[in-house]
Amino acid sequence: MCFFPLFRSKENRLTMGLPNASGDLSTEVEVDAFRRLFPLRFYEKHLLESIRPDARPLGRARETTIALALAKIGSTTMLAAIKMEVMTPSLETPDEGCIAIDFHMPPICSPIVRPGRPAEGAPVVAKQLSDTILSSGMINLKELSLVSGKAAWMAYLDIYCLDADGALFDTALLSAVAAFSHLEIPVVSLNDDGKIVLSEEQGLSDREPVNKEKRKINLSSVPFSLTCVLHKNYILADPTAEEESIMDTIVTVVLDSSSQLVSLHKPGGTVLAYTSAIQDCIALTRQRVKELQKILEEGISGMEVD
Amino acid sequence: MAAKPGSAPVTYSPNLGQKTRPPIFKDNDLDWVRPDGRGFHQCRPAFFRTGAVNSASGSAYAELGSTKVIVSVFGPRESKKAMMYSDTGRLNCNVSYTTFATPVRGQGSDHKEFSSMLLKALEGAIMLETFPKTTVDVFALVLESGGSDLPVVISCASLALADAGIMMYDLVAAVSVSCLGKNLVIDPVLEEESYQDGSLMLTCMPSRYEVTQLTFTGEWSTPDINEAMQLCLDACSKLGKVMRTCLKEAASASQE
Amino acid sequence: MEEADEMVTPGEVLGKATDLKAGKGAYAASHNNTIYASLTGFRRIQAPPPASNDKRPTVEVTGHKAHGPVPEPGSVVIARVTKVMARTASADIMCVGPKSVREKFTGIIRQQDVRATEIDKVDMHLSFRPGDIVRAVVLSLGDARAYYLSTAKNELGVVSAESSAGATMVPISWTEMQCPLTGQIELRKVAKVVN
Repeated sequence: MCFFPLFRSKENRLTMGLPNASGDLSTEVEVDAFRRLFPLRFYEKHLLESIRPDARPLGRARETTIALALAKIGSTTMLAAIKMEVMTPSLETPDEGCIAIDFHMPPICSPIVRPGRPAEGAPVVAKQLSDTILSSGMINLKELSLVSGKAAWMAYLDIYCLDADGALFDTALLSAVAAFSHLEIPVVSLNDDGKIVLSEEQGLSDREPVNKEKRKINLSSVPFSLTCVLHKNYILADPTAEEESIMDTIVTVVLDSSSQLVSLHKPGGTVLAYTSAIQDCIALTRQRVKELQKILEEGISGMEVD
Repeated sequence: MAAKPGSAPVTYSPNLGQKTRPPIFKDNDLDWVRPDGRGFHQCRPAFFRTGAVNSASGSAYAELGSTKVIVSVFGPRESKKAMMYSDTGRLNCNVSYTTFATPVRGQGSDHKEFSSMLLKALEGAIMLETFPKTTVDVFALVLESGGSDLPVVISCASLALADAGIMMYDLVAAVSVSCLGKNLVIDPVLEEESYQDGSLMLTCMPSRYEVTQLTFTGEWSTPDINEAMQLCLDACSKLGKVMRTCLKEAASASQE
Repeated sequence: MEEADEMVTPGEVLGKATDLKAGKGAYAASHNNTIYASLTGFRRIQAPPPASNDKRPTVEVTGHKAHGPVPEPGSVVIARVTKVMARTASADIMCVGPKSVREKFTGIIRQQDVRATEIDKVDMHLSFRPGDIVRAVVLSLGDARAYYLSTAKNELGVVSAESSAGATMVPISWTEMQCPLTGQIELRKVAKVVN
């Protein structure tokens, strides 16, 4: 797989004229410097006009693409991969496999991550991903069983953030869903030592495989999410990293493909959201789910044509 | 992290196959062909693209066969507080692997020495005096390990530095050669590296024709070393041209 | 511009040091008297100034992105005050010249560098408050921790400050700023407004 089509050059950011700054500073410094010094004033000037510095209306998400298990929302980029290994199922659930989910923010993805130190916020996203994927019912763990009580799949799902520019959870979840939709499970057999091995490589093609019918995982009720930031009475969908850092109240809504609520996450923040604001976030997410479903379907069918 | 609470279960990969496969090369086997069908002195096609990571000051993506890496450059930025004062700039390098980069999950963390080798390969090509007291960070992530990982990381890092506008004496291109029995194969893939008797890596500034790093391990005869070095130098100069084309294309695209 | 602009990358040969001088984005290697590019961009030739004895034109590489700004001695910077102590004030440098820096650089203003006169009588707490935006000049690279900054000129000092009531204050003298909401006067080392 090659990822280059997704690494397009930086978007041309449309900026409005310089907002009127206080005092003499506005004439002295460039627009980006003003934005750096007075970020909130810079944003509020834009919000009054119902437009964001990247020329988006408040409720619109950034351009979103999926190629294999690489998801991109704006410049936020996530790469997911699943490695299937074999385990002995636990006594309580002899007919179930397991999914282990890990989220990584390597130092390449952001100026605030340094080698050797876990990225701030990464464990929160990891926990949210794990909770969402396992509780959404997207994957029936029984489908991961190979030999009852003896062997089952352990699916290691690793998600890497390659470029962090806000809405990390949304992009990570999208890449995880894409990775599961592309997952192809190899045909395996039980060898003489009681181990599960690849049928072809071990010359066991004549032996009855243990997972003849289970080469793909059925995804039911796929979860999709939208993160919004709240500031005063404004709701900004799909925030950039800058927007997340300036306006600290974040609401993440996860809905499944039939628009049922999977989870709602509002980790504090200075804005106390009224129910109407929460309802608006859910409405925005409902629209977004339709967009994401289409993008995901196109991503899958596009790959099958190749 | 796991779906069920309690201790993580012991798992194994069903892909045990590799060990039972016959060695790809036997001594005196003149009909031997490389796993990907290349000539012994032929490199994989190199694909480079700058500007892969918007959050970084500069970045590049490189793909040679199944070897895929991303390098981000940050800075020049404030040096860490614990660092001593320095009149010249500093370079700081780190190389890491994704857990899925290697055939066996999580094996890529074995390459602790790559970070310091990357630093030593690049340092001589950078005009450190142009960013006094500050640090330029070069972080590499190997997405997929397909052989010749370190040379690919080094070439990719030099492109990312150029993309970040860091002043350099020249680009740095890197290529390695594996010695398999009596044969020298350039730009080895993972499988060839696992059977090699010796390995030589050369990094150079292709326009200035100066070597910044040369390492060799294993059994080498003097004539073989000379031949391998010449192979690498020629390959680096070709690689340098591909890298320059990539930079020029990106620069012209940003002019439009 | 005497010739068509050619795109070059670091390490490409621009000419011989006997014919050309190395300008921005270029360097001369002494071992082979060759001029090379050190950046990606367009090769440009500038004619020598008429009065100059050196008749060699200058070759430079321009037009493509250079790295972000880095403070140097003499740079005018805009910084946000983070901490005020008895003898020093710390400030995060946000802009170098008119350009914003991507992250930040730490600077300190020492008591003797706040103003030009009566430097031993300076009270740091009556000159700056945390959150103030100051215009300063970089005195030196400083020490391992910070750049040394100075506000000891009329046009340097606080350029924007919030009052305790949260409003942007108006400068009324060299040492005073006033809150437009409450009318309260606060003391600062105020920068002269440049027009």
